[in-house]
Amino acid sequence: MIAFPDPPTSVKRILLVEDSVLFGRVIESALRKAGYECVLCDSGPGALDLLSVEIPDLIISDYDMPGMNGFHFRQAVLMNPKINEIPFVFLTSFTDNSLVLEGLNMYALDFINKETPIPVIVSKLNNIIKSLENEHLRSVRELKIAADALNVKSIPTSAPELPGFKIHFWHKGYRGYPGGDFIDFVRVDNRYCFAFLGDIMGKKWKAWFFTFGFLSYIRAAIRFCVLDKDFDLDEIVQKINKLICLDESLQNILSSLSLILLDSETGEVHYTGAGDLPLIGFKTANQRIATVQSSGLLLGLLEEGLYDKQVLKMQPGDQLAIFTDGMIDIPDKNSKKSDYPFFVEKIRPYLGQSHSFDLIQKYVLSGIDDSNQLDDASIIFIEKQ
Amino acid sequence: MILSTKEVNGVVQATILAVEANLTNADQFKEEMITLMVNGAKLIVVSFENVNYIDSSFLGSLVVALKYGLPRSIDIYLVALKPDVHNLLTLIRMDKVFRIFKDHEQAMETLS
Repeated sequence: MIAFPDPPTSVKRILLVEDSVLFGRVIESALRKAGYECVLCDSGPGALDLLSVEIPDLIISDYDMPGMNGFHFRQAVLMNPKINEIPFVFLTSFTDNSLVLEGLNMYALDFINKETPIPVIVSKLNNIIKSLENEHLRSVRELKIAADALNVKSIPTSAPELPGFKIHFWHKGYRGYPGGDFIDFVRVDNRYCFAFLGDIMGKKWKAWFFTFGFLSYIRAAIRFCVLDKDFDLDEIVQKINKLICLDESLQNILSSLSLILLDSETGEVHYTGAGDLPLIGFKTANQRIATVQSSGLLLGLLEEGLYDKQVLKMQPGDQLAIFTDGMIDIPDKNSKKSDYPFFVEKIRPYLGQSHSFDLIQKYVLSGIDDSNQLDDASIIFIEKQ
Repeated sequence: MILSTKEVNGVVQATILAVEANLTNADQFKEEMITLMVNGAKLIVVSFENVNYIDSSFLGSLVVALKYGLPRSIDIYLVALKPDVHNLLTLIRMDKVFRIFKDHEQAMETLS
């Protein structure tokens, strides 16, 4: 069973289009009190401008406005495929039956009379939002069941065992959706094991859908190279990249990839990266951390991907962390930022200990939740024993 | 519109208006960039002066624009990247495929 928690009931943003400043302010304040974010706009054209840069969860519009009235505004919204699916409600003092019918025929969810007491208006809007949310949850659940039935997994259920190494991994999809991160391990024999981590650019279902195309190519390329006893990671990644560049169905889809090969006989870790974040390596001898950066470009970017290969000689106690950008994207004041050094600092205190990954899970990863997660987050953590 | 554009000496200077370059405006950015190229731009200098955060969906659109331009000999330069955005692009080697400059002026100087 793929574990996808349900998406959260996040703060909903409502766009209120109302030319009467006083009434607009009253409703705005009532909605804010009810826990919504509310953006007030005093005209249809102004609201359309706003909608070109911001997508609210619900639009409430007056009917009687100078210039563009509510129906014309609604028609303009319906004409624009980027915004025509945003739930829409009329809030107006015009309650003539034929007008109400005309409004509802324009796919408005409700036609609320302005004379209705404010608490009742808020309660009606609450119900509309709740029922939309329930419908959304139902659809997501059905998709999850379908994905589960197809047995398509982009994250394995357990880590492989390899003599001399301990391998851990962790993954959390953005807001509980399956996304574009993927992890897999290919254990060749008692000596070699491949591990890889990738991130299809994009979010949610769209990215998730393409993970399987990428995963198939990566798995196949690795298998062919194993058959040929060719373990040059840069060449493997170059082959994968070529396949992806040639595949028209994957045109314009890009992915990062960190590919490593663990050699239990020599204790070496071979590494080639494609547009991935630098790995974090911990050396027990000097108790220092160092980042390991590859030169390769994202898979699917250019046919010549500039892939290099590196060999990391790991001594007992040495550790290596490989992760995706969901780990470094964090909320910052009212915005967001990508902060690689921040993540390094976060895990630094727990490196070099006997149960490092347990500690990282307990003190860093468990703190990643819907309030602060901005993208799929995944990590593979390797310890040399 | 997510881009405000002006043409200076045959170069399209485009400024991303959004503070967050993300999933919600990535497709629009891609479409506007491709429209600029279809309309004959040979060099687009994209300013990130307003952008605090760029997510992978938007990066994807940026690369799609680059890939559209490459076979048509259309260049895309990036300017005015804030430190966090610049760091991210460097970390994932985007600096190898885009020319990055401090600002529009510096980008224009390389042309003369």
